[in-house]
Amino acid sequence: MNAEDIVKQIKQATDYQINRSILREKIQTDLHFAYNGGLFKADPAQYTFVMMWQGDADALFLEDTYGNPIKINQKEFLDLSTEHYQKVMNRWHQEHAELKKIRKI
Amino acid sequence: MQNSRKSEKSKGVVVFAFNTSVDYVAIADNTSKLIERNLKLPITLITDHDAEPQFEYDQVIRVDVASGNIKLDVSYQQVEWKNFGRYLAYELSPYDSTVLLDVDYLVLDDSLLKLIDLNKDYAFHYYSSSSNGDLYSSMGPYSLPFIWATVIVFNKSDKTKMLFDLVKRIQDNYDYYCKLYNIRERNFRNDYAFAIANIILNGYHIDPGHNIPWKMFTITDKVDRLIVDSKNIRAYFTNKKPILMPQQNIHVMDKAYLQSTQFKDFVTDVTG
Repeated sequence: MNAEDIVKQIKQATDYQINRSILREKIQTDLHFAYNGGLFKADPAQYTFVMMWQGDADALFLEDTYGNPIKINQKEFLDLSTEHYQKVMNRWHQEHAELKKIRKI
Repeated sequence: MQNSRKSEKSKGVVVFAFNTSVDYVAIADNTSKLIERNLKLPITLITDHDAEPQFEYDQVIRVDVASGNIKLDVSYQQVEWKNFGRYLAYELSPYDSTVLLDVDYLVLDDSLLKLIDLNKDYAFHYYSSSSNGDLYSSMGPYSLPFIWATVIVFNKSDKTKMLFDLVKRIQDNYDYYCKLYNIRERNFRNDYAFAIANIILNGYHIDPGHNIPWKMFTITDKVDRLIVDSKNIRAYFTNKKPILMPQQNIHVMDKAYLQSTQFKDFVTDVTG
């Protein structure tokens, strides 16, 4: 590799820490999903609670991101929330691995 | 003109573009292609009588708007800024649910769709981040936080009408509100007008219930080019290292880049 190529490569190198932080913010956006007029952010504590719920499956209410109580169907919400969480976290893992691969500094 | 795509509850995007030394209408034509691709909603352009938009908008609404405002661009040059009249969006929007966007906001994902079905009166970003970290959000050293009027999602309701009416009142009496809220900059900013209206409307309280619960990503630097591949966008700058980011919505402050052929090429690459 000659000096010109090295200079070109250095100019194209990105900052891993900045890329990582931008990716994390994007994932925080994507973790949100709409359900029954409410907006939720998928997280393990939330779906663990829903999964463990032993009461009436049709009388379960969760507080959404905007502080409103939203009526949920246990199975429907659990399926949606789990699938959404897995999909987004899987993408985060893959894209983070790619960032690490091209890490320059 | 009737909105041919009007449904039971109509949804659409509204953009304002008034040319100055910056060709905002041409920028709107390009950014609307991104909106159409990623949100798949009809788009209405609000502009002046001289504009010659090229994009096929759902509607083009022409209004008279006052000039006389100025701002500093990313090169710290003073430029004319026709940003008055944003309060007209409530009356002029042909949609029940509206996403009101600045033309310098690039819609590269569908995250805004999550908000449009929530039946909230309105929501906007309270916070924005950039590759340099979180952006400041105070109207002055001894003032309150502002909101980013770059993206406003609203449903027509009594409360939303009051918000837009208040913005008009603030615009008409801006010097008074600048003194009242210790505002640092005296040129009119919609970010400040909507922030003040939001504070007043919620009982002089910053209500988190109107915040879009994620940060808006803003590029504040001079952009050389943006390059898209299947998953990522690589942004190259004049005076700093490039960044690599996922395909996401981006607020780009550099209007010179948004008028460049490089930006047109970027839009073509994204939209295919």
